[in-house]
Amino acid sequence: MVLLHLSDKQKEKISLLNTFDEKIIREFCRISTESINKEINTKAISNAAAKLNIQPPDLKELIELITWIFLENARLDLNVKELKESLLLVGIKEEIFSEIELNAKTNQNQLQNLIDKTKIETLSYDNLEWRVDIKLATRSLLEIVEPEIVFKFDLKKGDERRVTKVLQTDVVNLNYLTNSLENALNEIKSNYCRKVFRNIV
Amino acid sequence: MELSSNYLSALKHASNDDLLSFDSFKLLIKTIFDSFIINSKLGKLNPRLDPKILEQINKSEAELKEITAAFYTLLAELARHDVDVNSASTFLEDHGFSNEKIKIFTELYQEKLQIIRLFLSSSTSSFPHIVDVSWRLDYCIKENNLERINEPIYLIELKLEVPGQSNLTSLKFSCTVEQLQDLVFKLKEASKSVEKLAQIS
Repeated sequence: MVLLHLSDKQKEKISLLNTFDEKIIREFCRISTESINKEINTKAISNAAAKLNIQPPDLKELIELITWIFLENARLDLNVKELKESLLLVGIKEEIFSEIELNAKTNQNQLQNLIDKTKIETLSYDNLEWRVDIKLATRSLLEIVEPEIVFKFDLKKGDERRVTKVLQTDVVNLNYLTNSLENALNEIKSNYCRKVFRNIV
Repeated sequence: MELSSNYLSALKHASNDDLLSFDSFKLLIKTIFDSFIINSKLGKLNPRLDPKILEQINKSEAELKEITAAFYTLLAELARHDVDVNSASTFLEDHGFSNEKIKIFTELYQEKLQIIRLFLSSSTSSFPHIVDVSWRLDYCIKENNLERINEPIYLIELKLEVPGQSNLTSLKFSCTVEQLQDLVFKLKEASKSVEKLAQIS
């Protein structure tokens, strides 16, 4: 079981969180989710802080704490039980937890996708188009019949950048390529791989 | 099939038994045909004739160069059109070669025609040609900012022969299982369509 580890400072903030009711927490969660995509609106924070009768920096820290919980929840891929255990352990109120949990669950996927974009970038396969040509003549050689397979590989680097490669091959190599990659695909179903996957999870 | 007047006169010169004896002709023509050897650097013809052999032929260097160039051009033209042995022999006959000389030429021509055509075929432009593939299956467990990924990932490396380059280059990319399934499916489709094509013709 994986647990969230909160620092002492964060634990103090949790007790501050406990002084608010669910409605306000819900608002906190909304601001916090928004802050992932854009900067926190300091003016809105000051207004809200005035209404709640606390200092704006304190409120900002609370929002940041919730954001941190959301991010860690996504990063560690916690399940509800793990999240609950972690937060109840540091004394969060049950009602407040359910509010945070609800939001954490909704944005978990979105955040994981966001985090995914920061991973080590390699070219990844996106699409393949192929064409079969018969070469009939070239400048230096007439009267030939030579089948050629032309491939257009679409590869993706990161999220946006696309790389297109046009390659070709002959029949023998096409069959070899197909067989090799088919073997690669079958390998994942092998007893060995299954055993490893089962034991790692 | 057309040869320039320079080459035609050089051929005429070579056909004359008084100017170029049969033995010299045999030596020269054998050296020319022997320069077409399949080695690791196909298409890189080294047309420099062995000076030791050339010493034995009683000709000035300029004359020899002209004759050699004429024969290389003749061979390229004959092979380009895939001219059969009979037509090649008729051509030489028309240009005054003796039966003896024709015989030695056609014997070597028949033996080397396909290799010469191979040389000619390699002098064309093409897309990078896939000649080999290697793959690796990884199981991604976690990244610095995302845990519990537990996802198999394939790394594919295509080895490419780029026209005009003696070294192989490679194209590396990664695939998830679904992406590899897609890739293999498309390759199989291509293989099948080539097979069908072979059955028709």
